[in-house]
Amino acid sequence: MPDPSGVPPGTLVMLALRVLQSGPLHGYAIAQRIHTITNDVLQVEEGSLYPALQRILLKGWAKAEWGTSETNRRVRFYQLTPAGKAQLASEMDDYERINAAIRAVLRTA
Amino acid sequence: MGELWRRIWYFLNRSRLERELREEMAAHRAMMTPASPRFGNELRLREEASDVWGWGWFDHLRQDVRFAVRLLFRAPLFTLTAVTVLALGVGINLAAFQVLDAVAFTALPVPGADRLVKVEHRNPQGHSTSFSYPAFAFYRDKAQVFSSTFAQVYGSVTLGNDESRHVRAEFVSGNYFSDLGTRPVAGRLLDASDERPDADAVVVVSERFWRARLDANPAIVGGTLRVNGRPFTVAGIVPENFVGLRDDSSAAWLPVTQHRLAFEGSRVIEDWEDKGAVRFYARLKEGVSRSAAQAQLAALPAALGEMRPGEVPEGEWLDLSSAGTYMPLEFNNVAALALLGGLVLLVLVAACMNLGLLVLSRALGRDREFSIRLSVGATRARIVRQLFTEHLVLGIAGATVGGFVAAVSIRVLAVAIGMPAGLTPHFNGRTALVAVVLAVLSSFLFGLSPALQTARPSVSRHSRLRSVLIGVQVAAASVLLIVSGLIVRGVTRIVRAPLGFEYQHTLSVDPDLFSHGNKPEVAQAYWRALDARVREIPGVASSAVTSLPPFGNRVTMNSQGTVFYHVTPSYFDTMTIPLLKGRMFEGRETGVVIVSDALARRRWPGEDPIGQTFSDLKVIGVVGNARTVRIGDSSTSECYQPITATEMPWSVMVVRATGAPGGLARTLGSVAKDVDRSLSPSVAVLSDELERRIEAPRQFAKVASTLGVCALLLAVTGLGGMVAFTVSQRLREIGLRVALGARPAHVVRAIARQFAWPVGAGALAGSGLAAAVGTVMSRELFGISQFDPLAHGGALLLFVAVSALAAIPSARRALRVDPAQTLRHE
Repeated sequence: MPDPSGVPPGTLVMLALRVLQSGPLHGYAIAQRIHTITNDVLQVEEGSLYPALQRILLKGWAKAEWGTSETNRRVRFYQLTPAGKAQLASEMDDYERINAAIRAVLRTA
Repeated sequence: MGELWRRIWYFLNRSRLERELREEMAAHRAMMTPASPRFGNELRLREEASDVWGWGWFDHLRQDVRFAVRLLFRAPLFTLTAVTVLALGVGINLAAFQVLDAVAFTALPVPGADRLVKVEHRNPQGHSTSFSYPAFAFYRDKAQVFSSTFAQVYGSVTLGNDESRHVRAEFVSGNYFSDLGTRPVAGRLLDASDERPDADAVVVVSERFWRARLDANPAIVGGTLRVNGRPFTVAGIVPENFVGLRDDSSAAWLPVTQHRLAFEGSRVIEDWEDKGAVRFYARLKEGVSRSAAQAQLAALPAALGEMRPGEVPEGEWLDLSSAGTYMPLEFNNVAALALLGGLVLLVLVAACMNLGLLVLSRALGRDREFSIRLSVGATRARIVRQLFTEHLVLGIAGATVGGFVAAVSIRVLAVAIGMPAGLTPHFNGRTALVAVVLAVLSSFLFGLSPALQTARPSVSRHSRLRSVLIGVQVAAASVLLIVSGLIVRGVTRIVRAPLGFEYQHTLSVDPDLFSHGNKPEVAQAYWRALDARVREIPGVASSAVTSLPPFGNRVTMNSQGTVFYHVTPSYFDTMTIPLLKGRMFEGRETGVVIVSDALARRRWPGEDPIGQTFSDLKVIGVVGNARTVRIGDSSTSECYQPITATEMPWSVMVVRATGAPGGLARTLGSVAKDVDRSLSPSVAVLSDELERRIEAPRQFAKVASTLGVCALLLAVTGLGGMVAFTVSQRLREIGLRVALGARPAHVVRAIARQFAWPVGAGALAGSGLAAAVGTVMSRELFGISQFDPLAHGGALLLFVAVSALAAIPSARRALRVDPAQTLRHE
């Protein structure tokens, strides 16, 4: 089944983890940061962030806490756990390795 | 907190989490600007998010169950029928299991039942379940692995002043009751001090005997009760629910060391030769396993052999088997139990096939519903799952009602098989597990065919499935009907068959000479004296002495089914067994033998048996067949030798009366006692004994025929319903045929043909299976023949007749079809 968000499965999870590395954020802010980082290249329905966040919570990669946003709304802040940091590091490693492998193939081919 | 725990935590807090998710998404949407990308379908996203938690299947299941329940309520007649049919099938099975559970799996109601063992001895030549008392005492004193041991010696005694009525008594070790944790209804039970040589003569009686024969008089405790005419002090009353060690039917218990007080002259305590006297039970020490104990006991028989050369056969060892349940599953009863279990399970199979037909025809009517659901995007797998959920709901409902059916039928079953009062079948964890398994199993059984049909609809498959269902159902019902027929016929044969001798006017006198320690010569003198006295009693036509009591349990038989009797010459006259050839015994002969007609025909077909030799004995006569011991077993034959002193202690006297035998019983008893005052002879009227003997098979036949009738009803309602359904489906076609000139008979034949095949095939398969079952049963049960054409034919005929009866309303409906009306309808 193709991912309805239009990005490879798992990408959103990795992006969210990456964004959360700099500190706790709420859902809307995470979406904004992803747009900024990716320069709007990934055209994603913003709502599909939430299933990804639920997966992150279930895996124990982040903790969520209710708080108040800058605009005075009740929102949920997500904060990376040590397990989440480890997961991000290993996913980055994997990504680098695969990327390097693909580059090597493209160069020699 | 691991991921699994988090999932469970999510499950428990689902509604709050969903609310939070909704709130979070709402906040997000409120913050969005027109320049933001689309948020997406919130409902779908919420579902996706909660799918992450992994409880989607649960929601689907809940939906399915709710839908199924609604559907079933909308078709109350169908639901009611289905639940009734299932409850019957499951209920009977649950009842049977609960009875089995109570006798075979539930620990006896005594403390530490799991450490109780029965001790037997085995050697390469065979095995024996009993010991002589001195051998028991040797092992009791030498064994290190038992925390306690019990000896049981059975005896038949008179209690009270009525010396004509004998009851069963057990002579047991003093610690028997205290170790089994039994509390008296009144007074005290036996204890170790009762085994002392100087102990007073005491007896404890069963609560049943106390109520029935002692008027529940509390003052009897401490009073005197005569046992075999000798005064014993009643120490206490044993409660009704006492199960003991696999036996509960005794009326009295006495210290084993007081056997000689009840049986004057008894030598059971010191007689090494009385190897059949003691049943040996023991309790293992805490922490000692059965195999470890058996290994530790291995050296004891040899030690006994050293002490008493020739006492112990080569290679003998003590074998321990569990005695912690009422009827431990053993090699010799597993086959019979499995057979019974299989028969009971057939009722469930018949019920499921019956229901399968019902569900299948219902699925046909739901075609529209399924096609709509398919066209709006449901997968076939989803629909099949929905169907299975429906069937599971039905299965669970049926099993639940079946639990109540079981609760009722257990009472009937417990009485029929004579369950001891101390064992009550309970609804426990094991039963619940079996109920769940039966519910799921039956839902799959009856739900499979409709599911197959729905998964890939096809008309030809539909009719094939239906044929299979009908066939299996008919087969299951036929097996049950035929087998119950075999059992009923077997019992009838026992009751009605000419046994070959006169028992209506015959009595037997058993003075139990052996229990009183009488030696052969003493016994011989006793019989001679008694015979002379009995012949003088008016109303006595004839008397004789035989080594095998008629309708008794003792039998000496070889592997060809020849029963060996030792009798006095007048035996044939007393039992009115006719002489067919040769002559009777004359005076004191040895080396001669008289054979029964059946034995002569088998051994010397077409030859003259007179003068032949049989086991080194010369055949002098042939008499009519007369089964006095294995009454239901027509394959047995008889061989008679003149009785010698050796057999005398075990023998009984048979007496034929000129009139009604009942009046003679008392006179015979007092005469037999008169000859030797130390004895307390029992007198039995043979026709009463026969009644008692066939009581158990009769009850068994009742249970079997109830099962048979259940199966018949199930099969017939199933078939009748199916025929009705087919007719209503084909009404238009029938109308058309009649309009085109078909005769009514043709129409009926066309419908009948549709059912003839599966019914015929099913009946044939059932008949074959029943023959196989009969073969096994004839080995296990008395009087049942392997193949009984009448039982087979009768059952099948009954089946066809009742099914035809069930189909008549539908046939009449088909015949009354008005072609004009059907065509107009078209």
